[in-house]
Amino acid sequence: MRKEVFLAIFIGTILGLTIAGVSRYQNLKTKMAFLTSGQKTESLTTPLAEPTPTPQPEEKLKLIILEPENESLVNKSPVTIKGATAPKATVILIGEEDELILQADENGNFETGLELTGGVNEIEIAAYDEQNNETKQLLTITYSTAKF
Amino acid sequence: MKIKTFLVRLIFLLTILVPQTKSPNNFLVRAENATESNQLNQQFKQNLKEMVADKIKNIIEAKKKRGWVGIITAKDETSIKIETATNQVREILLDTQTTVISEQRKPVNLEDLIVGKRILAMGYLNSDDLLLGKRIQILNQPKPKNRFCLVGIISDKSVNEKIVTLTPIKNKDNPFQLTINNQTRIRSIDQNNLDYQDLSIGNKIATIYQEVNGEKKALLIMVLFPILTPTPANESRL
Repeated sequence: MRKEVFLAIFIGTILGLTIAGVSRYQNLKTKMAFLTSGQKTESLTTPLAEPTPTPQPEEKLKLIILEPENESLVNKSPVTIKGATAPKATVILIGEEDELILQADENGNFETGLELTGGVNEIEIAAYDEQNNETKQLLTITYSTAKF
Repeated sequence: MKIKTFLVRLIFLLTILVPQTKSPNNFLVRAENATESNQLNQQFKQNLKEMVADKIKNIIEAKKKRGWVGIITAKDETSIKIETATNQVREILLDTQTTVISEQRKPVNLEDLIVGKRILAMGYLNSDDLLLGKRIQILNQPKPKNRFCLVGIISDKSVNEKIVTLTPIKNKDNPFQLTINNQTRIRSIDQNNLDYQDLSIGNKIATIYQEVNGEKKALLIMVLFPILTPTPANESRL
């Protein structure tokens, strides 16, 4: 009885493996045939033309202030100013009383703290890249501890 | 075979049951502990929920809090319109709760908000992007801008005085003299302190300067190129 069971399991395993092997082989064969035909078709239909270079418009130096939002109301000073510009660009910040010059990192990110005065703070932020391009932005932040 | 299986099952059951029966009240104690622990968990969850809700509320309010600056262009009983420095027209809603502060920082009335006045309106943005004005401060006229920044090349340097001639990179035909005094901070690109003698002709610098009576006084200078290291005399100041 036991022998029969083992024999049945053994035959079943062999049969299963054989079916799986045949099926996989068929599948691979179909894929190879498809790829080969695709390559041939492509080489016949695609002309060997040089890509025409499209004229690129002169790129303006980007300067994005990520934090804080323009016209935001804060109750703490100094405020952290985060932004993005060209890699290694020089960033200049002129606050109401504080001024800073720093360099953006390899990815163009910069982050610094800036002292605020009570009330409206109009902060001029300028960026200069290595190609001497320049861009400026005005960031208005209100510093108030008034409760409302 | 059957005996073996039976023994294994018996050992397994004993392993589970023996620790439970060590103390007769074990089940009760566990149940009580479980109830207490559940209560604590519930309390903790409730506190956490409240804290998170508070935090979210604060974040949302902080996000919605705005301070608009502009000149009043129109006014009626319930709202005012302002024009910002970037020529955008904004509307502020007024109500009885809106407080108005004068230039001298004294409370005044809504009637004191008149067309032509420069104001700072603080409040919350609503879903229509209108500001629910909570506190409006009448501002003085802004001071004329007297600090400027630029990047340029040092084209000359005085030996007798602390003055350099700077040629702006964007306006090469208009070099100007930049005065450096004891208040001027001179930095390398690594934010190390430098001195006037570290500056040389040909240096590319970024500067923030103040214009007083036609004289351009440097407030801050950063040497961008070449990368300078502080002289030994300056190292002690770092």
